[in-house]
Parts: sequence; structure tokens; C-alpha cells
Amino acid sequence: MNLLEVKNLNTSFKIGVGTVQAVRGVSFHVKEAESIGIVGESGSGKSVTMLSVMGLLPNYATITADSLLFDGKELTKMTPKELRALHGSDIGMIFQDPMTSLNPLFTVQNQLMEPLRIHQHMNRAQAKARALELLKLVEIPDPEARLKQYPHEFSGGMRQRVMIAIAIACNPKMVIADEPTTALDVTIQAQILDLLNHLKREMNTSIIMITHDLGVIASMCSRILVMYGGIICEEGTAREIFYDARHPYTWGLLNSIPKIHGDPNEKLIPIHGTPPDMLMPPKGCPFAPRCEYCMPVCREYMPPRTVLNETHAVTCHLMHPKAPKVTREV
Amino acid sequence: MALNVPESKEYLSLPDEMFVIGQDDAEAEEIVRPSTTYWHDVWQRFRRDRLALVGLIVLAAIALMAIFVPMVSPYSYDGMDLASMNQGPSLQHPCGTDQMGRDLFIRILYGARISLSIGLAAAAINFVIGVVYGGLSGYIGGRADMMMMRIVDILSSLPSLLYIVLIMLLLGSNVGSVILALCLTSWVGTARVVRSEVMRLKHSEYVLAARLSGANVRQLLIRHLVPNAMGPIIVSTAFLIPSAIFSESFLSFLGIGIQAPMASWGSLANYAIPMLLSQPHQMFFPVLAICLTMFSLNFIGDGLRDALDPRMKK
Amino acid sequence: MENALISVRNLKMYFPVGTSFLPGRRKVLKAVDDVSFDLYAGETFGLVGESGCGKTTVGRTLVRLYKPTGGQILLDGTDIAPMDERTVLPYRKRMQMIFQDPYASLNPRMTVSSIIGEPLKLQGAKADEIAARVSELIEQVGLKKDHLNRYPHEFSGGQRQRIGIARALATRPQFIVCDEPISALDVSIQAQVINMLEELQEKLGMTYLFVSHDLSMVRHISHRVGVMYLGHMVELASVEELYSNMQHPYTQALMSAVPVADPDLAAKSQRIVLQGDVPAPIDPPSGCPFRTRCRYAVKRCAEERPELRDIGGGHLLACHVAGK
Repeated sequence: MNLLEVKNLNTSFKIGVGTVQAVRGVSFHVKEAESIGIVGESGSGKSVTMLSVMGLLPNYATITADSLLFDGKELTKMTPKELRALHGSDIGMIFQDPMTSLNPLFTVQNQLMEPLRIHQHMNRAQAKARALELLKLVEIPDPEARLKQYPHEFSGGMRQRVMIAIAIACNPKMVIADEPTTALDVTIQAQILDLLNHLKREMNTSIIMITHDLGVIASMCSRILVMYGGIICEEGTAREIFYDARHPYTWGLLNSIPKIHGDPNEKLIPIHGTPPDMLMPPKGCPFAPRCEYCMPVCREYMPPRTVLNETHAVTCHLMHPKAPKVTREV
Repeated sequence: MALNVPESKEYLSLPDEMFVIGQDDAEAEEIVRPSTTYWHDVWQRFRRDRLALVGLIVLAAIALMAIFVPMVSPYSYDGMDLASMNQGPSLQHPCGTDQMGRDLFIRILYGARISLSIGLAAAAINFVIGVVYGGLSGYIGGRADMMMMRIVDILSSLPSLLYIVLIMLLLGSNVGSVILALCLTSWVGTARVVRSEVMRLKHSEYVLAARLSGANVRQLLIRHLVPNAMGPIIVSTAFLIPSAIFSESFLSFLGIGIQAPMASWGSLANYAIPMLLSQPHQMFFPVLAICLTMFSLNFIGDGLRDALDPRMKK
Repeated sequence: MENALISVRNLKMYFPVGTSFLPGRRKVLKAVDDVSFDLYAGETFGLVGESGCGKTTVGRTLVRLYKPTGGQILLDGTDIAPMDERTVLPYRKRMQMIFQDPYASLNPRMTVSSIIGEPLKLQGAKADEIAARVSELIEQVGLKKDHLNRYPHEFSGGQRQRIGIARALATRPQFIVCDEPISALDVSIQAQVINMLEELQEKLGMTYLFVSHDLSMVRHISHRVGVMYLGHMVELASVEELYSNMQHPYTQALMSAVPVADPDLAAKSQRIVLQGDVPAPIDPPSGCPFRTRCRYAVKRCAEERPELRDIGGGHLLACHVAGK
């Protein structure tokens, strides 16, 4: 059964000079206990997509969707109050910078107990016991002493662990992690990824991982959505995306990173040009201006979504029967 | 359809030449957004603030009237007409006359000249001293900065009314001494703002890049640090103008500022005290002028703050 | 081997922490402590490590943005470490820097042409010379002349980074410190910048100090690599040697922690997950800086700091346990 189902989501922001079309007709689903990754560059709409689903965007954003179904409930019909009740109980969130989501004026214990008391209606003693248990679960050493400390007394990696503890406090059905390791060093990133993998197995939650790092995606996610210019240009299982990609943008991404185990002298193949300005996105395919295989049709029309099999779908005109057959250069 | 996806039947029958690979990459680096400068953006944001715009218009009207009306008016600020003493507002005297038969409207406009020029002069002097002092203190840092900031602390802790009165007594009551008295310590606020901005900016990478290219302290301050600190500096200066004008009015009201027959809003209000009950308009119009100017300047200051630094806006 | 362009000997860079009235009682942060290495003309030397290890400080001290606390920086045999701001100027012209954050490294109030032309202007070049060089440079980094009158905020991150490269190239330096030049860029843009740096090296014989935490990119671009931890160089070797025969326990952990962009390999690989955090640089552990997180630490590690020694073929290692 699908835990989350998003149909035709559009999000735009009104700013001084015009309207930024951040998300343009995105549809996807997340199954129970599945970990999916949304990969894309800055401005691709990956974070905005999830923030729209959660209803966490500022009020100058306009969100429209045919349907946003979470656990059988229609999110578009919910009041802000009902949405808030969902956050922190059924949906947990982890952000890139834990310092902005932790309140510096309260101890970690206070912040851990808050969702438990609000959503789970625990009393103080129960909440306190659970808070301790959570800190142990996220492998923070010396949890009894740590509970009474303030966020600034924690290192970056430890803060991110606290964020994870808060996110999973009420046994959520789904955890959204927005670039959870981007601000961390590699050795700390490895610790956090290990922890997330471990928790996923233990608690059976769905994880939506938003990142620009293909390495993080490869080690965490079973299914991947590749976003560019506000649309999903390719989706598939991790193996389909990494070994059998069909979209030129996915090829470009894979070709532009050096492989730690490959030939060090191998030339990197960059994607030339720069991402589209979403204030004035191209009329056709957003990737067309940078695409090596661009055809006249790409300039004129947005490509349709072509389904290759149950899991793999591509949004590219190269899938058209009249288009030439091209494969990824390796 | 918004997304421009062709209908499937139509899509499949698109002509073959639509599916030929090949394009020039010239446009991959194209910038589609029109070029805008920082100050253009600031004006766009400022323009959207109604109150600030009204403030700007009112202030401009007062300033223009203060400059041009006395040139064409039949009355002068000290021309007495004992035949028309203590008149109420009329067509001839829009704000009435005072107890010596002088036209109040023209006296208020002369007052505006004095008030506005004191405000501008004080702001300009504060700006220069504050930027130089704060800029050097912030850039050099360390012990020199500590000494300079302690001096600032001492200056700002002196009771201002005390030495202002002293200066006025020593140098006599005229516009120059009022400006001197007002500027003696009010630049410390600007200096503090500039210092904190410079401290923040001096470690930024473009400043490092300029140092690497051999820029000296003066070049760094003029080309890199001060232009980027301009927003907060302008805001702090903009709020200085109304406080300088208000201080001058206050001094003149107490009788130690601008002296008769010269007219300042404060002294006009002072002269009106004895007539307050019989001739309330003599008090009303100067006070109205002060209020309008204060409101305008503060609205402009608020608007500037929001326009210069959008993050500060709620 | 040929003579080094830059030789760094026992470089020390300490920063005072907090300001205090009483001198001498201050705490110092030893950002770089006793680091030595050579840079040969035309090579790329990669400096890797995690945040707070001192790699950025090494880069900034080399171009003399900081005055070192101790040690030597020999540029073609002349020690520029003790020189003051004025005497170092002629030497500094031969060195430039590319910065990490393309959004902070360009003055937002200046046009692109005055940004790129600034180093030339400060050297006293004439206006028409500057204009000619600036338009040559903008094309060299793949942008157009009509971009010159625009302001930095109108460009994307990758374009800004290329403007930063053009500025660094303006005075025709021999040596460029690249301080995390790609870490703030999108994946598809990183390769553009890396390829450009490689091309420039080929064409102009540039020498780079490439400071980065991205081990796969360092492996791709560098000829030799140094690994830093808490202000110390712990291992230094040629790229082939280091990545095939890493010896220091920290290097091994660092390398295994890099997420592999390949689901099959990722599933197979065994990560060495280090326990705990990097100790605070203000209060480093005694002896070997890494011993608090090291799996192999012995008693000697706490007592004595391991010296960097050659374990064969120019592979330098600072560890009491490994490499024997």
C-alpha cells in the first residue's frame, strides 16, 4: 500500500520581479517502509516538493495539487491545525542545519519531551524515560548527562543525532530527511548514515532522503527520483538509475563525478551551461538548453512521462519512437 | 495546457524533423533575467512601502516650499506689521500672524530651512566621522580597536544636555554652535554600526581576495568594506536626521537654541506659550510642522531599513 | 627530483583565542602545528582533512594572508614567512587564491569587469591594458564579454566561481591556492570547474594547492596528496601510492567513509566508522592527535607525538603503529 501519494503537484513563489515556478506537475508515491531518494541540484525543486507536501512553505507560495494522500488522508483538505498534529507524530523531519530547528533556549530533554507530551499525551515521567531511551537509540554517549544540556553544547554530528531522536520520537510512519549530512564531515556523515540505516531497519519507517549527493543516495535508498527544473525527469530503483539510466541529465550527473575506485586519470564529462532560471523556465524540456541530445521538439514541448516498467519511468523526448536511439557514453 | 505536453496522438504524429539531434550550445550560458543593480532593487522595494513614499512626498513638499516660497512671498521672517497682530489663519496669512504681526507661515518656512539644514548637516558630519572612525576601528581591530571603542563609550555616557548647554553658552546661540553641539557625540552610534559591519565583512572572501591583490587599508575600506556596509550606515544616518531636528527644536523651545528674530520651530512654539489660550494656532502650526517632519523622516527611515535589508523585515 | 617551487618547513600558525587585557595568559589555538611539505612547479598538491584540521589555514598562510607564528615558507629559496605586509607584496603577486564560496568571494557592489580588473588596477596597470586583459580573461573562463557589466548576483554559482578564477588569473600567477573551490557547487557544475583548472594547468603550467574534503575529487585532480588531522600532517604520498597503500588509520577511516555512488559497491563495502568527534583544537590530546579515535592506539601514542617519516618511495607517515 502507498503511504504517500502525490498527484500533479505545482508550487510557485511570487517574488518582486515575477513568479518562480519551483515545482511543475510532480507525481510520485512512497510505499510503506520504503526508502526513496530525491536527487537534484539546487533549484531543482526537490526540497520545495517535500515542503509543499508538508504544508511548510511561507504564505507567498501557491500550491496546487490534484491529490496529496498520506496514509489514506487527503492533506489538501486538512486545516493547518490538523497538519501540525501530523508533523512530529506521523511524519518526522530532519533538516540540514540542526541549529536552526533546535531551540537554543531549551535543554535537549525539553525539546525531546515536547512532541511526546503533545502528540502521545505522556506524563512527565513517561516522556522523560522515553527521551532517555531515544538518546540511547541514536547512540549518544552518556545520555543521562546529555539530556540536561543545551544544543550549543553539542557538536554538529551530535546535534544531528538529537534532531533524528526528535524526528523519530513518536514512531512516525515516514521520516523526511532534507540534506541531513551535507553540513557534516565525511567521517561524521558515515556515522549518521549508519544510524539512519539502522533505525530504518529497526523501526520500519519510510524514509524520504533529499540530497544532491549521489553517494549518499546509493548507500541509503532503494528507489530514486531525479529532479531537474521542477519536474521529475527520471525515476527508478537504485540499480535502474545507476546502471540503466535513460535520461541525458541522469547520465550527465553520473559522468560528472569521479569514482573513488575508478581510473583517476579518467576525464570528467561536465554538463555544460547553468541550470534554468525558474523565473522564466524554458518552454519545453527544462534540460533542453544544456542537453547534448537536444532536438527541436525539446524546445517546443514538455516531454511526456514514458513508463518503461513497473518502477522505471523517464520524462524525455528521446523515448519517442521517431527519436534516434542514443545510449550513455561511459 | 500549462505544461505544454502534447496530446499523445498529436505527439506521436509530430514531424520527423522535430527529432534531429543537434544544437549550438551558445545559449547554455545565457542569462535571461534582466540586469538590475542593487540600488535599483532597493528603490523597487522602497516604492512598495506606502507610508515611506508618503513621507518622502511630504518631506519633499516641505523642503521645496522652504526653498522657494520665501523668494516670492511679500512677507519676510522679521517683517513686523503692528496693524495685523495676532490674526487667525486667513487667505493673506495662511497660518495667521504672531504677536508682532509677523506672518507665521513664512516664519515656519524659515524655521524649516533651519531645521532641515541642521538635520542634513548633522547627518553629513556624523556620517563622515562615524564611517572613518568606525571603519578604522573595525578594520585594525585588536588593542587599537579596544582603545577607540572605550573612547566612544566615554563620549556616549556623558550627559548630552549638560555639555550642549555649555557649548551654547560659550559659543553663543547660532546655527553653527547648535550643529557643533549636536554632532559632538552623536556620531558614536554611526561609528558603532560601521565598526560592527566592518568587523563582519573584513573576513569575507572578497576582502581576502583584494588583500591578496595588494590593496591597502584605504582601498579596502573605500572599495569593499564601506560600500557593502552602506545599508546599515544609511539607516542609522537616516534616523539621526529626525533626532537632530528634534534636539534643535527642543533647545530652541528651552530658549537656548536659535534666537529671535530668527525663526525655528522650537522657538516659534516657545513664543506661543503665553498666547496658548487666546491664540492656539500660534502653537498649533509650528508643532504640526515638527510632527509632520518627524513622521515623514521616521517613515522614510523605516522604509529605507526594509528596502536596504529585506531580511530585517518581518 | 627537481627543486621545489615552494618549500614549507615546520609551519606553525597559532591564533589567540579571545581578547584579554593581560597578555601572556591567553589561550592559543594551534590551527597548524609543525607542517612541512614541498610543492613542485606544475603539480597539484591535494590537501585533505575534515573541518578544523587546518587545511584552509595552511592555504591562507602560504599566500601570506596570515603571518605565520613560526617556520619557513621558501618561495624559490626566499623565506617569505617573516616578511611584513609591504616586503611580501612583490612575492605575493606570484600567488593567487580561488575561494570556497562563490557567493561571498565576489564583491556584490562591483561589476564583473571591475572585479576581474581589480588586481591589475592595484598593480597600477593602465585602463586600456586592464580592459584588454579583462576581456581576454572572461573568454578564457568560458563567459561572454557582454557579461562584464553585470553584477555577481546575476550569475549562477558555477559562473561566479569562473569569475573568481578569472580574477585569480589576472596577474598571471605561478601558484594558486584552491580553497575548497567546488564544495559549494552543484554536482554537474563541479566537473566544469575541475576541467577548467586542469586545462589551465596544462596551458599555463600552473601549480595548485588543492584544499578539499572531497576525497574522490582530490584523487582525480592531484598528483600528490597530504592528509591533515588537527593541525598536523599525518600522511603524505603520491596519489597512486596513497590510494592503493594507505597506512595511517585515519586515512583509512576517512577513505572508507566516502559514500560510493554505486549501489552494488556501496552494499559490499565495509565502512570503518570512527567513534566520537574530532577533539577541540583548543585542547588537543597529548601525543598523537588521532589517538582518541584510533583503533590501534597503544600506550606510546599518548606519550609521544609520532614524527612524519619516509616509509619508502616518498611515502611519509606519522604513526607509531602502522607502516612497520
